[in-house]
Amino acid sequence: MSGMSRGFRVGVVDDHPAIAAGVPVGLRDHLPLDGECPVASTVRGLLETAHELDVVLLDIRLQDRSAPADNVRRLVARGWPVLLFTQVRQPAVVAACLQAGAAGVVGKHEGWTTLAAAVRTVAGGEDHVNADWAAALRVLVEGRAPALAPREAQVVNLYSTGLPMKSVARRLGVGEETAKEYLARVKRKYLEAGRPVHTRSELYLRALEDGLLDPPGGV
Amino acid sequence: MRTDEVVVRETFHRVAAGVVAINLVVSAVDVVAGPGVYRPGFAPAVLAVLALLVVSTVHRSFAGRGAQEPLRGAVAVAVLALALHPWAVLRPVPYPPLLHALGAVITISAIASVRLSLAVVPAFALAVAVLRAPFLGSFQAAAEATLLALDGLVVTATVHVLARAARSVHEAVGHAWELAEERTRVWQRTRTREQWDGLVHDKVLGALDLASRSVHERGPAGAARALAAEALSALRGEGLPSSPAVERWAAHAGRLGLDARFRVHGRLENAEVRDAFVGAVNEVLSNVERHSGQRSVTVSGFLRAGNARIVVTDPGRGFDPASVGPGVGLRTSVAARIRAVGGDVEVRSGPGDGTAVVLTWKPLEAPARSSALQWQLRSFTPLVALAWAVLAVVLAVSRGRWATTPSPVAAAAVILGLVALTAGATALPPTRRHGALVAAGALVVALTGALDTALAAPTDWRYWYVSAMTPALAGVAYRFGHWLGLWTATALTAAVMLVDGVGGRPFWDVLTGPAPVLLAVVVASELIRAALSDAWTTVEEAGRQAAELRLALAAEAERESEAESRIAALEGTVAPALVRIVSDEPLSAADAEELELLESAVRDQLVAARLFDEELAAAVRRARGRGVDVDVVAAAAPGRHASGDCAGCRPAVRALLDHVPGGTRVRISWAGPDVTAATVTAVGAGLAPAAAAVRAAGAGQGGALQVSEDEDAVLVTFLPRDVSEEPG
Repeated sequence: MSGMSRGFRVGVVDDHPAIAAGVPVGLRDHLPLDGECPVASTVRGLLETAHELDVVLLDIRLQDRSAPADNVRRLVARGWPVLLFTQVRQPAVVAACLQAGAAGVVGKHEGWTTLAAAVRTVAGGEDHVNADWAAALRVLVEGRAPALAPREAQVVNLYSTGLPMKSVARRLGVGEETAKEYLARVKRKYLEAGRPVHTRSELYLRALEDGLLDPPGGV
Repeated sequence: MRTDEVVVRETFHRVAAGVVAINLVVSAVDVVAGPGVYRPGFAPAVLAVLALLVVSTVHRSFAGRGAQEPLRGAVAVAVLALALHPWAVLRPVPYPPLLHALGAVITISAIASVRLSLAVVPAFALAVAVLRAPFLGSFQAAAEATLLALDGLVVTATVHVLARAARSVHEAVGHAWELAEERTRVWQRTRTREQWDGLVHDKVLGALDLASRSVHERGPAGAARALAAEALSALRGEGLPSSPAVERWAAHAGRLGLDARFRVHGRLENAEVRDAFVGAVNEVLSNVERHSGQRSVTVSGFLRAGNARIVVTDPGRGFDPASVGPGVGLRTSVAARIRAVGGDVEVRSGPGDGTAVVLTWKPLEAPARSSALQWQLRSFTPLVALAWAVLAVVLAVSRGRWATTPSPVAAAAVILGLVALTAGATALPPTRRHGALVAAGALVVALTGALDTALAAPTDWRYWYVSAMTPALAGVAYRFGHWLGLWTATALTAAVMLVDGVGGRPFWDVLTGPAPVLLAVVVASELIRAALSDAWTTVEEAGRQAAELRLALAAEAERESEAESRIAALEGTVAPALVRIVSDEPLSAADAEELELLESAVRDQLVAARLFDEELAAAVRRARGRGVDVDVVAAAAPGRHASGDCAGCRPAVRALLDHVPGGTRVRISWAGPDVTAATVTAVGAGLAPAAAAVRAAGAGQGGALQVSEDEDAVLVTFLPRDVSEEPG
């Protein structure tokens, strides 16, 4: 990773200039940043202005009405790890973004500490694994079910409820590392192995049908 | 555009051309074989003109242009040629050679026009009767003419029924397509709208968040102010694409001097309904100006092709809708306009409560299913009537003959059997058992008829009972199981051949008599039945799809109006806070805390509007006040959908929130809106009392509520009834 000798290079895509401008200010207290953070209100804007980035914080819903998963794909194609940064975490939309290559999701209301930790993890090439990440994975698991061992399904289900990994492992009577390994295996099955092109749109339509894609939560 | 209907019509035209062409050849051969019947040149001229029209029909049909004109021309030529017969025939013969060709044209005249055929078929029959009476005797000629007319009318009815079936299929499929397209449009609109709603929420949440942070941390207060102003204008519907109706209302409100806000989506293409809405809402606005005692008014809702709903609200002095008062004007001038186009108006008000006038409209839907049923039932009635008529005529024609049979009693039994068979084939419910019964009866009647007819009887009337059975077997083929009619006709023919062969007659005689006609009619009935059955299946399927689509559209409309009311509720909740942020007054620490709680509450409402009632919202607020970190998230739907309601989990969630110590992280995962399953996780220390409280509160929930705890976490799972798949 690159954030060792110098600060982290973080790009922000958010259609509210006020929020976008506030993020570097808040982050700087918890994380060494490298120079000015490039900020844009659209993905295209960031692609045009930024050169090299360690992490992109991407607002899921942008004013230009672009599809979230497409945005993720375009950033990932540039080689930039994407961390979703959103007001409302909708598992179905997050799922589509994870499939497109996003590395995790952080709520805008979560503290700077959480965001800073997530930026470090993602810049290091890892996924920011939290309950929302697992909840999105669960959407995929529920949607189409290739072979998934009962234990693996249980880990995803339990972890997505917000239980700490330690507690999940205890409930399943396995070690914490084993539980983590289960989670990693599920991730491979659903996010990496066989990522057919049609799946995302299919998933999107299905989510619409199922009412999962209600307005920001139009729940 | 090529429709199914056009394809069916073209097929009809080609069949008609084929039938006429064959008979033209037969007539031409007859003309050559019996010279001198007509005035020189008459027969060749008629045949040549008809041949040209047939060629034109085929050509136009394949070229994709309608072939109605040449067909109608052929019918006109046939009628004219027939009318000229008394003049044209020089040497009368029992069957003038041109009658084959002219009869074929008249028989298929229904394809050119059903109404035309209803006129020319009986006319042709009458002409044939007149031409043949000198040779056959008047009774026989009349009977033969009646048979001809009935045959022609059967063809007419069949063509009519098939064309109608094709039209029904076309309409039903078209209707389903229209609905499907409408649904796609609604989907598109819903997505756009959801996106817009999302932006509104982002702005609201962002403004509250930035404002509270600007107090606690370093943060630009100006940015919060700008975002709050944006959020306010978005909540008030500015920036939404407006419709022409809104412009007219805005102009009217401006003239009245009202401070009006509009949040109206979509547009109505139906001018009548649109004008009714424009006029009615203008009337409501005038009422607000006259009676509400203030100048502020909000118009919200949507106008769409399939559904319209406009709500006009004012915070004025209101009135009692039950008493006489301003309500009279509303009920008459406003309600009259909307009801005139099939809509409805509801007035909600109370003294001091302000007034809301709700105008709704939905188009009347034609029930596609029942219209499809109609043609199916109606199609059969004329066929039944014609079958009876044909039977009666055949019996009448044979009257003088069956009296000469070896056993008049057996002949009487055969006639009774024929009547019973025709009745059974046309009226019995089409079950397998009834089909087998009628088929067996037909065989018995045929054998009895064959054994009871003198072997020496001439071929042309010996098989009268076979001809008389044609309607009954057509009925069997049309109404009962596959191939039953054909099998029966074949078996019956074989039985007659057997009797003839054993008795010493040439066994093939029946094959040159009525058997081919019988078989042809039966096959035709099978084909018609198959065509109608296919058409019926298609119409039914289209009707089913249409019904589903209508349901889906209604659900979308419901969601849209829910989204509408959610936005209105959001505005009510956050507008004061946003106004406060926009104002220049500095925010205190207490303000900031209030804004944070408000932001969380808005977020909760967004994610789980149906879970949150006032009590639960208060419990969450209390817990957050104590330093509990409460996070409400939308969860993935469980594998199976439950029909139950998660309302039952609220007391348990409240108990948990009230008993967890400060510093605990609580995550409420809610899978909604229709799927009802929830999990609540509390992570922290000292959770045992909370777990006990949840168990006590959830005691009445049966197995739906499960609580499991370990050292540092409590997991509460709520899965009502049908959902058996547990998360974990």
